[in-house]
Amino acid sequence: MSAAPYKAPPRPPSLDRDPLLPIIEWDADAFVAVESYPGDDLRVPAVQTSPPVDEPHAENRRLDDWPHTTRILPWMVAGFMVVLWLIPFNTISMTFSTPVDLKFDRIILPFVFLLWLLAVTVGGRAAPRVRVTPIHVGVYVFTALAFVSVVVNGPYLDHALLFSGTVKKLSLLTSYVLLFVIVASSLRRTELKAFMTFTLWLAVICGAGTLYEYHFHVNLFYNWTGKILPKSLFEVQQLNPADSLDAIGRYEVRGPAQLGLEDVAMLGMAFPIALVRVLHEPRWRMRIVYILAACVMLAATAATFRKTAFLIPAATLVTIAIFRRKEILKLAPIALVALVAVHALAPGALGGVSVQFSSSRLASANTVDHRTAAYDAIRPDVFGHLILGEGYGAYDETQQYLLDDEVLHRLIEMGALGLIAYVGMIVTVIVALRKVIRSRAPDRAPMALMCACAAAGFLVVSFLFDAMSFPHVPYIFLVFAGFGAILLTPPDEPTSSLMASARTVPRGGRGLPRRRRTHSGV
Amino acid sequence: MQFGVHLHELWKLRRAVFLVAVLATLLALDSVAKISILPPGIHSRSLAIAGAQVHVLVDSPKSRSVDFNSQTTSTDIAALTQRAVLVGNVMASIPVREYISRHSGIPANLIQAVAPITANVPRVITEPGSEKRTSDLWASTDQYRLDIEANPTVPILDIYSQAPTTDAAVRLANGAVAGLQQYLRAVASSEHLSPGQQVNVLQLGSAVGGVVTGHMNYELFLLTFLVVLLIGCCTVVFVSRARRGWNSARGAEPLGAPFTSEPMAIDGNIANGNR
Repeated sequence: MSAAPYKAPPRPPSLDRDPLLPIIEWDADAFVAVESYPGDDLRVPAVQTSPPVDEPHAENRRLDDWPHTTRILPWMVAGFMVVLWLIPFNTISMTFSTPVDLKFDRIILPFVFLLWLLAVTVGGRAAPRVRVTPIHVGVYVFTALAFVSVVVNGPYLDHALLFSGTVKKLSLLTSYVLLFVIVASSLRRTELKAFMTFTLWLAVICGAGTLYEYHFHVNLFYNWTGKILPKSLFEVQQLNPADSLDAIGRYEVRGPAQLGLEDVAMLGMAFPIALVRVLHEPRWRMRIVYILAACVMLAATAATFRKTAFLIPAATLVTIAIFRRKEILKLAPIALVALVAVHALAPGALGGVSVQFSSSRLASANTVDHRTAAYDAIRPDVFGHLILGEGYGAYDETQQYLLDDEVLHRLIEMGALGLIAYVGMIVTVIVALRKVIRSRAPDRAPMALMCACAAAGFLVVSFLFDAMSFPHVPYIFLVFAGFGAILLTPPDEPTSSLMASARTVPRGGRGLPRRRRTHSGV
Repeated sequence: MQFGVHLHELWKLRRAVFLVAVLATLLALDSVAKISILPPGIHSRSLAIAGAQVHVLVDSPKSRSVDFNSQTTSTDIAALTQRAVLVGNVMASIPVREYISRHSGIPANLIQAVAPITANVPRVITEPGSEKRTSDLWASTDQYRLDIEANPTVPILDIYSQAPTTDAAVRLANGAVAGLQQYLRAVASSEHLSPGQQVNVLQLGSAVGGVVTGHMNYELFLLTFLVVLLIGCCTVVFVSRARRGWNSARGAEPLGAPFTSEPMAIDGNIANGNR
């Protein structure tokens, strides 16, 4: 950092006339790349953006970035991510009865939210910035439709004694969305690289634990959580060895999740971080580290013996191939090394999964049959409430047909509109980030690609199991969606309140505040 | 702070917001109650459903459950358990419903009975009320239902009744046991069986019941009100902004000028290229 005193640059003449004007006319797409780091791929020149970044100020902010910061919110988000990746929180309940069904995540998240609310209320430079990006719109539209579907079907749900169940599901959905809003507003763009690295290592730990479970049939996540949490307050569900075989005799390796599929989905969404970094990392030593990380995750997914273990990485590769056709060829020799490494880490797992893709096994497997049969089984329910469904959370699998398919759940519970909103929410992440990915800006494009791959993975698992019913998966997807939303915003954007004022001011100038505001923000 | 800005914007549109609030209240009320204008009144939409339960021990004439000297083996208990399933199925039959009707005062054609299922079925199927979807309650508001469940390990029948009122549910549950006992006595009499040869159906206490649902659902009222209010306020703000934008665009347009898709100038900044 330079020791010379900072001298503010001269204000553009337009600002002297109307300080709100550049904000009103601000164009997010103009922001492509403004920063570069040693070792970044500089083949694509960074496009100069407007308004220009206040460099000394940006430098100060970078020094205050997580993990070198005293700001509490990023640390709270990081803490919650540890819970998401390493703790089977959905199997932890309180030892005493509570008015609502309190799981471990719903005990912690309210504290994070209250702190976030406090920070928003207090304001200042460190305050969270509530942005509105296409990703936000996708998430909000889906959430709004979920609530509307319950309200429209309210009397029916009440008579059928299903209303309390839907309220519980809505509260869980609200938790997901709250985490998204908190992540998207509390973190800075300059912090994302560190958060991606953090996510990667959490996923590697998760993968290593899953591999340990595969080899020794001991689930460290459940065991250690039971030992760490005070028994007087929390009750951690213990795994019953008798429940560890599924319908077709596969050993249930589940890591910190409730199901092997959930574990696969978690690891599958983090897998692109390692893969994209292998593509973009110029240093060989770090590239080897990322290859090893990718191998651990791939081996862990294969160790669950789920067919999904191949499908999510395939979705990741397809997404990367769409945006980086040439670079993906670099991965070809690495893939061979990875195959050997995965086989060494989880002997027999690759073969165990690949044999399930043989046509005879696919045709006879119960896990495939009941899913394909579900498409016919749900017709009466779907056509009964075609537009808005029966209401979010109204379909009870224990009483009716077991679907194991989030897309069909959305179709039954939220109708055609809800399904469009659900798929739209996921696809929006990819579509909104495509410009950033194609810009090849070294500070943003790789991370945008990771988020897009995670969204593609989430879309795939939505067809394979009821992903929203197992909280690890939607939480992690929405964390990635939050990261994506941050990538769509400029590095040093004006504060939210000023933007909000700008939006409310009509173009004719009527309604402008009496006292003129300065561009430095609130 | 942003929240305050939005609140201020809504305050400026308070008349429209008031109308939205009235609409939200009416819709929320409509979701939980029937509103009639002539005659004016509000009646709860919730169905009055009451339930009651009673338990029955199926035993031999000389009780094997109480008498330790009767050399009772697990085979005897299993046989009694099987007999309990048989008795439960008999209870659900149409002839016994006539007897139940006499004891409970409920017409036999209104009584629906579900026989016990126990052999090799998942536990969830044996839970009361799960043989049909709960949404079927909607179509059976005036029905009197009997769910007869046989305990899979001991010779005990669990009888759950459902009726529009608590009193009727209790009468139905008690009447079910009394009707069964009378029917079995009638069959034994026709077969000339002595009391020592008859199966003993012992009611374990009188039926206990209560209202399952029937009050207004305040959660539904609140949820409907909040969702309609939120959507309404967003619509009001959107329409207001669109209207202001339209008016401002129309006001800035010179008379007789052809339509252009270029952005409108404010103080000449954009027109001069000073973005």
